[in-house]
Amino acid sequence: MVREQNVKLMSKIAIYENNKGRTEIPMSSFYKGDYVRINALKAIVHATIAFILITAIVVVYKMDYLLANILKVDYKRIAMLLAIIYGCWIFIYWLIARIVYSRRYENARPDIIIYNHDLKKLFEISEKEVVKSKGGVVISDDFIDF
Amino acid sequence: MTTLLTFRDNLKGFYSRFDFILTPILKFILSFVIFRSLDMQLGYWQIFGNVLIIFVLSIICAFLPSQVITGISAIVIVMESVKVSLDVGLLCAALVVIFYCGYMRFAPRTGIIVLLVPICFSLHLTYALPIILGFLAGPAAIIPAAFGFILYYYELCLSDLTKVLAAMTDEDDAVSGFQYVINALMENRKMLLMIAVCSLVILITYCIYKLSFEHSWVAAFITGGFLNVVLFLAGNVMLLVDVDIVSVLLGSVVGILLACLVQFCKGVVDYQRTELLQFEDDDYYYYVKAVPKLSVTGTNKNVKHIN
Repeated sequence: MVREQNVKLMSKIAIYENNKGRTEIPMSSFYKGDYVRINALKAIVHATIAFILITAIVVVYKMDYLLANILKVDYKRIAMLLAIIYGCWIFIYWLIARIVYSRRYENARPDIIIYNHDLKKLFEISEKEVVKSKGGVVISDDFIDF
Repeated sequence: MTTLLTFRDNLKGFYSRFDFILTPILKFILSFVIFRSLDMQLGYWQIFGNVLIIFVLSIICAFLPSQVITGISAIVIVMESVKVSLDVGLLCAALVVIFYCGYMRFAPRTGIIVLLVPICFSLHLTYALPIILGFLAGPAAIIPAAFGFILYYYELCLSDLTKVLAAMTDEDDAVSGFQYVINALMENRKMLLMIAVCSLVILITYCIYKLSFEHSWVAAFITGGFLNVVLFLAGNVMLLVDVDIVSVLLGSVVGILLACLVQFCKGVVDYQRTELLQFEDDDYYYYVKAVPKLSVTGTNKNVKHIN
């Protein structure tokens, strides 16, 4: 038998799972701190790749100069400069990633709470139906009045 | 006004009713236009200009997330660059990876803006773009818009490079495509001015749009348009760049009008019925300003014929 309440709940849950839920449900398996840290780490890896590529472009662009002055270039100074720029670059990325992902987690939290609540409700309804089908008696929550 | 509101609500209703079919159709059109424009601006591979291939790619994109359009377009751009010269192709691939790693991870949906900028150039809507992006996407649109401008001038640069390479004889010194493209992009003051003005206009339009005073959105659009004109004028004088001020003026006006139209579709509010509420709980005092949205309930006429 089709129960309207069940169908409504299941549709709501399915719509969420197919849209926002795709990105938000995996988030719920992490604590906020862990989620932000993992994603900040991924961002650092990506930022490092971007930095290496930018450096490679600059090196290839300046290749003629580098080849002409191969013995005169102060490699120690260049390495120091690169290290400082890389440090700043990574720090900025880490900061942005922390802000973006913690905000994303906070925005997803209300939706996940509602989703879990709906799931719980659906589970309770189906449990009640099982009890009824076995001939048991379901006591409504309103019946117990403290 | 009531007629307009009714029309808007009917349009929204129609869209939400046929969302399952209209969204793929709109995505199909968008991807078709993007692939076609890429072919028109680059077009070094005949296969990417084949209408059937574009049609099939657009159909695939119609049912997949918008990031797929960006991904396929990136592959097309890299392939087209490789056709011109291998080193330019590698440079292009590096730029695509930099954009992906450096930005698109944070806001993957805004990647499509990069591809829309060259289309806006061909539609003469470049100067209208920052105002619209300012309130639709906000600061998240600054980097993709900048890369969009780079893409447009990169396409122009590739077309110049092909001519240079074609005109070269065996006696000439070999031209490095890599150096040529980077030099052309870095020396392009018009591009740098456009990126700077666009970023500023997006940021300021967004900030004013988000303020809570009455008619903040109109103020945001007008300020954005005004800034657009003033900054391009100043840039014109300071950097000695050849920007057509009439186009900037017209573009800004069109931008303001388009922004008003989009805002109308998004929802306009009735400031006369603003309610100021104040309440408290154990931890906080709440000062709430509630502004109702303007809407009309369409009359569903049901004519019943009785013989």
